[in-house]
Amino acid sequence: MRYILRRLVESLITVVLILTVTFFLFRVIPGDPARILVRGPGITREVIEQYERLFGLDKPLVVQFALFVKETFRGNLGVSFAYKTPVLELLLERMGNTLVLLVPATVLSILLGLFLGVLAAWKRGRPLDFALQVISLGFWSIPTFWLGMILIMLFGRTFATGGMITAGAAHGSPWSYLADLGKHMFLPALTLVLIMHGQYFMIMRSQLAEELTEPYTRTAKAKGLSTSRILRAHVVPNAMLPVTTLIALNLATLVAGFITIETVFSWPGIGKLVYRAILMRDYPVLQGILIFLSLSIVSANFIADVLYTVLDPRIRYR
Amino acid sequence: MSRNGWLLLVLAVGALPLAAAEPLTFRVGWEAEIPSLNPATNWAEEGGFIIGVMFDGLYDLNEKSEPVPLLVVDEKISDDLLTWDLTIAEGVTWHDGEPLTADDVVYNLKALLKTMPPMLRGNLEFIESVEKTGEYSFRLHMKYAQPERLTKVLLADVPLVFLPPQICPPLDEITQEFILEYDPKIGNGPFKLVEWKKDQHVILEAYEGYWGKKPYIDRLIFKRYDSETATVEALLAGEVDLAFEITAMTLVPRIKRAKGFDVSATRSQWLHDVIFNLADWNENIRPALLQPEVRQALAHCIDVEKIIKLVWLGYAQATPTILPDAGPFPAFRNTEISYYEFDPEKAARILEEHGWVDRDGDGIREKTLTYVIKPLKLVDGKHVVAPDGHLERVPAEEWIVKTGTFKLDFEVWIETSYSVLLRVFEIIKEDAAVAGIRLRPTVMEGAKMYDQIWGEDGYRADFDILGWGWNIGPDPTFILEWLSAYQIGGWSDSNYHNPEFTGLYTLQKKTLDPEKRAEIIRRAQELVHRDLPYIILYWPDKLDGYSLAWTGHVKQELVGLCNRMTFLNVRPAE
Repeated sequence: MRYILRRLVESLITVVLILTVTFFLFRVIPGDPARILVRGPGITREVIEQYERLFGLDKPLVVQFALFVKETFRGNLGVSFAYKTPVLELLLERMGNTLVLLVPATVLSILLGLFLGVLAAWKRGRPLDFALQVISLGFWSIPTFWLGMILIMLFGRTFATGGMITAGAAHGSPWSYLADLGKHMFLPALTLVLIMHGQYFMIMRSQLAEELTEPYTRTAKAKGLSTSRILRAHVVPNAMLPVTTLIALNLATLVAGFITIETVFSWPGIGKLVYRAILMRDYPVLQGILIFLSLSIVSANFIADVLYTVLDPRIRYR
Repeated sequence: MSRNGWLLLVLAVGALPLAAAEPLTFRVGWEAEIPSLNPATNWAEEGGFIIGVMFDGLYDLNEKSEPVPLLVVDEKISDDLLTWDLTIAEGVTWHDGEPLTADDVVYNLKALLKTMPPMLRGNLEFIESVEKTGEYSFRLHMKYAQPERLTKVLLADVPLVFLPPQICPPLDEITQEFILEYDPKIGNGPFKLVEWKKDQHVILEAYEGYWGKKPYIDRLIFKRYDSETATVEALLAGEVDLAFEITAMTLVPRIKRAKGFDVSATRSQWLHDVIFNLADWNENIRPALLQPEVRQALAHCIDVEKIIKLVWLGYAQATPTILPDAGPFPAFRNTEISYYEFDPEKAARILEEHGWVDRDGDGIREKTLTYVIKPLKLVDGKHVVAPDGHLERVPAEEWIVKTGTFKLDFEVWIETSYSVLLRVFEIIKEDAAVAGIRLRPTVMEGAKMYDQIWGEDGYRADFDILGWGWNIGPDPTFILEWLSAYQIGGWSDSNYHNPEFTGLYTLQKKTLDPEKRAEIIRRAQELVHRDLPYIILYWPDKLDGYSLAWTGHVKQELVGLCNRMTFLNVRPAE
């Protein structure tokens, strides 16, 4: 319990430090949001200064920071310069869109990767193992945007080429909506599964291969246990520890969205929002996303630490 | 069942397909970001297309991009151009059904004149006042006379009647902040807004109460894709009917090869150019680039025909002036101007004659120069342009004289949205190397580039050469303004400051006779060609991919197929 509380306090301190550093970091990056957001002929220096006042960028940095801290603790993440929408509302909408795509794709990647990893380890040294390694590593190495573009070109006429839903479609029923969503999700999800499963495959395969050489597996076999029983009851649970760490760490970064996937498939998620916010120097959105990301990553690490104590009874924290 | 009952049943069954019929929808795919649907805050061309069908302007641009009346049905303009008596059409309504009369026009213009939203300044600053003269008529009093065409273009550029008085504050309470924050839902044009999901799509439907020519289609959808490949694939898959502005040339043959699709090429008002840093007021001065022979030499190293053929597959116009050979511009274009002859050897000779030699054998010429930094006189942080067009400087005693040796070795920054220019400069740099000039092109993020060019105070000017472009708008006055001394610290990228040029810019704005005005503008082009703040590369064509399942597209000069006329006219091909 003491350990958990200590980890909790450490996590909070980490989040606060990250927020402070990045607040000032964004403002050090070259680029004036007012000049980026206000373009066109006839725009003079006065106009740009007017917008800087509107965005509150004319105030001293320390004052801006104080306002930012105060409003953040009140749950107000500000209003996006570019979208003129409350940041929290924007984040929640985009986060929802990202999770709709990433959760099923990630779950499938994990399951596929783990399954193929077990299969490859079981048949290690044989042609199947070799083929699975080549395919998985091959997909893992392919640039995501390239694979996405190829899938669009090959299957774009069957599935959708971009977006989340057919704009303006009158969905008569929830099933119709889900079918439309599924049609739009298929290609980006397929891209993600093909790319992502490789890392889970490799780590599972290598962990299992190592466990299968341990003396206890030979003992279990000598005692007459079947290979599938040995894998299921003994080897796979032992191999899961590093896999769990990887899954936890990946899940944390997943919430950042896959910028590349979301851009290639025009998926209106948080990854794309990050990319555009950086280009537009949309400070409120960037800060809001960072708060969210920091909380996610720190939480995921914390959960992973706690999970370890559950998975491995040898580990006891003082 | 009785006979009537059967008849009713048959009719009902027959009517079912009609009841369930999908609305006739035309879909446009593009990569555009729409910053706003508020005419007072939108800066994107694509946002302008949507605003242009949501709202009717007093004037509009026809297929030749010439201003023509829209809401205005009758005009009486005084000989001195200072008084405009205008009458709008009867029967115009807002999308909530409320009538739009002269009261609404006067309300809007007064509100805008009172608050002067920054991005509408150019469209309003010449209007002194407005008054209602009848139920559908009003009078504009102008502050000064300017060419009639220019006034109409500025009135057509943005719809100025977009604030419904029935939902907006009274005139004495309206503020600029209200107008800038205003989120338009009620328009008065042929289409009304149904849904706008930012970064995703805009859905509009035909307004049944529209006073003018109604569109054939029921709905108009603009869908955003994050890449041109996705947009083109969406076109070929039938997800969209028009793919707006294709700039990746490799996609053009893909569309042309596909059955049932084609590409429309329209001469545009977009130019691509080489921009030199001509600022001389701070430590970021680039003395080598201030030497005319250096800029001329580089101009001799550009093979425009080759660039258009290799990079643009022929889809660009080789027009060496700051005005294109399209739309209304031929009347103003200086046709005597031609490209500097492509001859890198000649470039080398010019540099040699001016003392630029390669002393250390690295292939790059250098020279020792004495130069002067002349800080700008700033008043409240702003530079001052004298009546004769000169930039005012601090007293000469405060000028800084320096000497240094400078190599013809330049970084060329290309803004990310113009990344095609990287290929262009890869071609140019090979020829420039023959002349002893080294170019190092690199793509740079827009925000960082702006910071280097303008910085906090607008006068930073810390760069060598830019590869960039302009959408020059439908009148020559805009590009002339950006090259004038007035826009230094604002939108001047080159920091060009020729008093004669600045004077010509001011003069043409006041010259009412079209031919005299054209003469002044031609002389201004001559100065730009001589002084070379810009080397004009070419004018890329506007390429739009479209489905042949539709007909009625209207090709608007300078704009392409994506325009209000197309949206009103397009219908399924038989």
